[in-house]
Amino acid sequence: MIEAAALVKRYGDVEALRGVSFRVERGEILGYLGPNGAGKSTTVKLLTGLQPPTSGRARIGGFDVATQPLEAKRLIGLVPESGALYEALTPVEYLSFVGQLYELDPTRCRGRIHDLLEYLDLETGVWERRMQGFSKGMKQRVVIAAALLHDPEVLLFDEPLNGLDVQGTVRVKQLIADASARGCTILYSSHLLDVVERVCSRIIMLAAGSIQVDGSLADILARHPGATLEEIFQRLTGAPADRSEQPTDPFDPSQEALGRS
Amino acid sequence: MKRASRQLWALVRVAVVQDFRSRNPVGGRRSRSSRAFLFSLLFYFFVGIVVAGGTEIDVPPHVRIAVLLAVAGTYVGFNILVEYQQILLAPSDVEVLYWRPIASRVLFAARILHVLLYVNILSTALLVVPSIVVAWGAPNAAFTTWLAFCVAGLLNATAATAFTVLLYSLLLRHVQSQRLHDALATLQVVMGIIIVIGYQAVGPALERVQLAGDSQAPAWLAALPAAWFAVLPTVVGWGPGAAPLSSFALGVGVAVACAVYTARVLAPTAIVRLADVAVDPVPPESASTRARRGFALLPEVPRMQRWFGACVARNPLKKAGFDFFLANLRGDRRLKVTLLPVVAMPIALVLFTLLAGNGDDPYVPSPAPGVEAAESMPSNDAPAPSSALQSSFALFMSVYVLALFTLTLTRSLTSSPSWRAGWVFFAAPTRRFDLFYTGILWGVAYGLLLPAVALLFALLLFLWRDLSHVVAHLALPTGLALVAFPLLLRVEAEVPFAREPARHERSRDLLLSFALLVPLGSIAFTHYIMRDHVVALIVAGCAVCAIGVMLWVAVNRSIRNLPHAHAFEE
Repeated sequence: MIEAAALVKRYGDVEALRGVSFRVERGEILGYLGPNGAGKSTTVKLLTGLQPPTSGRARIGGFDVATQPLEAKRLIGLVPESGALYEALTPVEYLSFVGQLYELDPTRCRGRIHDLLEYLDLETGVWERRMQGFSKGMKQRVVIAAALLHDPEVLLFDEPLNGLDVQGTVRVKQLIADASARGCTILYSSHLLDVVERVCSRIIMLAAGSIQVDGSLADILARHPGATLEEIFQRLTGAPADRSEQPTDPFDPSQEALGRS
Repeated sequence: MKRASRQLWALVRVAVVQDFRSRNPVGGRRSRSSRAFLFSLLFYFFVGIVVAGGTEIDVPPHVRIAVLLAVAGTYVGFNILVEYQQILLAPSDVEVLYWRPIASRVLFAARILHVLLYVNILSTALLVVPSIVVAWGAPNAAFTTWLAFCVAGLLNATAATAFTVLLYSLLLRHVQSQRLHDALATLQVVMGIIIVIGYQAVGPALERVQLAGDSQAPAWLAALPAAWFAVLPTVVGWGPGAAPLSSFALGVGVAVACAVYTARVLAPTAIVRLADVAVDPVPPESASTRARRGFALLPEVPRMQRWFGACVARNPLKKAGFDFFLANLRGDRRLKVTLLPVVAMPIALVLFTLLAGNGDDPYVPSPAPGVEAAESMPSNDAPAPSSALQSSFALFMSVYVLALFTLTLTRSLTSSPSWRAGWVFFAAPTRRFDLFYTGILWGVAYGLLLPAVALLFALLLFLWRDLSHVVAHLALPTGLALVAFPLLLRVEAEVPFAREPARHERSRDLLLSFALLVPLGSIAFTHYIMRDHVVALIVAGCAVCAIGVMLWVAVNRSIRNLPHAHAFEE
């Protein structure tokens, strides 16, 4: 369902993605891991057509994102990292607007909005209130509902748990499992290892724009005996734990970290 | 097609609803943007009344209608530049809309319809009175003439929009995404200056036509796009001989060509390019590149900034304000695009006035033989007396535009797209916010006001070669700018860059600036007739500057604890 073929993305002299290739089959949940700046969000942007690749090809459901964008986009549901939505609207107005963009039947759309908001535990009292005063977690629930409204075949999550409380996190994990069971293909991009460890059937670790490892959790752990996923992650991605020198404690007055005498 | 039109309707409807629902931090039933839009509508209506009266002179009907439409077109252009550029670019839409199955053409069309909606409402508000006045004076059927005028007004506004959109789209297509924002900012500044200079040129041009006493429209009218559309009501009201119908065909043809080219060639890829621009990170700059950018006109500027900062802002809070403003000015394109044209405007206007009229020093007492000769012997070649006066007076008015900078600055300092970062002011453990604000003002002085005044000073000194005359010319407007700032701050003091920008507010402020041109014009005229009293003007200018400083000290007390006062209010 998702196919990335030798994706390269350059921003000026900076190479954000260096020939990334992978396939995600129907019903599979791929955990897309990497430290900040590894190229996770860039991959999501290329897969959704938000940006064109410098070279390579992205396909969704067999449709080329560059040459058949509308066909590919009809299959996608995206939860962007920024959690962007139109805050001046109420959740119901916003989701109805999204439904109109997908030409959903208004009656069916209203029912689905009701079901989704209820499933995501958004209090009914705020459904008709403008989202300007919402907490981050409340907005994130609406963003997730907007990604699921048209029942997409491919779900792309870019740090979907941003701002969610424990209950919301549990609900999203459940939602991912349910969607996968229905045959939905999921790419879950995050740097939170514990969640990926629990929900994903396969993991890709990315560092500096290149894939470092690709396989199931069991495979990866078997290849690095005795190590936890976190240790493997740090080893493969060059994360801070690998540094020989420990960083200065900014709150330690003896180190004059704040430049005070 | 059906799907596209439904999507188009949904996109435009939601965009308009959002425009009128901006956050209203101080409560009240209407949002800030609704109030600002209402103000704009009323202002345009009154401008229409003034313009209708002002053009009630003895010129051919085609010229008169063309001028009315040109004024409407000018305001439309201003509005697109200061307000609706954000609709066309709309970076906030990228992660909400661009990954959804909406064709680039549909998204682009929604943007244009959104802009056209406002442009045509505002244009109608401006032209409602002139249309009635023109139709009333037409010898043929008044109602048909009025209808033709309305159609021409809408066509004119649409064509102005089409042209602006075409410019933007061409930039979008041909300029590298990382440089696009700077290119757009430059375009905005350049177009703003061209529009103001064009506006300045209307009065003298009309007078020349009136003095020529010719019943035919002058040749230059053929080059004025508004005149192409003015043909329609002229022909309907005054008969086929009153204006060339070919011009109308040309106008419609050009507008259609712009629209077709945009729809066929630019729109299909526009959204992909817009998304690319919005999400394309700017690569890190080297220190040397940074030093050359923006305000760093000289390689020594960063050092100069440090030196200036060390001289005027020794207190850490003052220094923080000073650096904070200059960093925002460098990094925030919105702020740059708002403030730079206002600073560049007086310089451009002075240059234009000097080029259009003459560079003679108006403070040199003269018997004005040219004026007397022209009065006694009016001819097409001799300079018209009131044009000579206008040219000389414009030199005074140009520098008073500097005082408008204060208004724009006060408004621009309060809102920012990064307004959420304003929490830092409310959390900071300081009770001397006035020091921070003083630092900001030093930043304004260093980054904007002083360079503008210095440039004007150098330009006039080079032309007039008399220091006292230049000081007499600049001291009073500079003093007014200094006085206006604490006064405005006393009326509406707000925490800097901590308020969410609302739609229509920028155009409201711009219109307020236009309204302020009337009292400023009176002061400029008093300055003009007092020009023989150079010493008195210098003393008055210095006194006003001193009052400005004293007022600032007085206002400081009221903003000392500003963030905390605001926090308690909310």
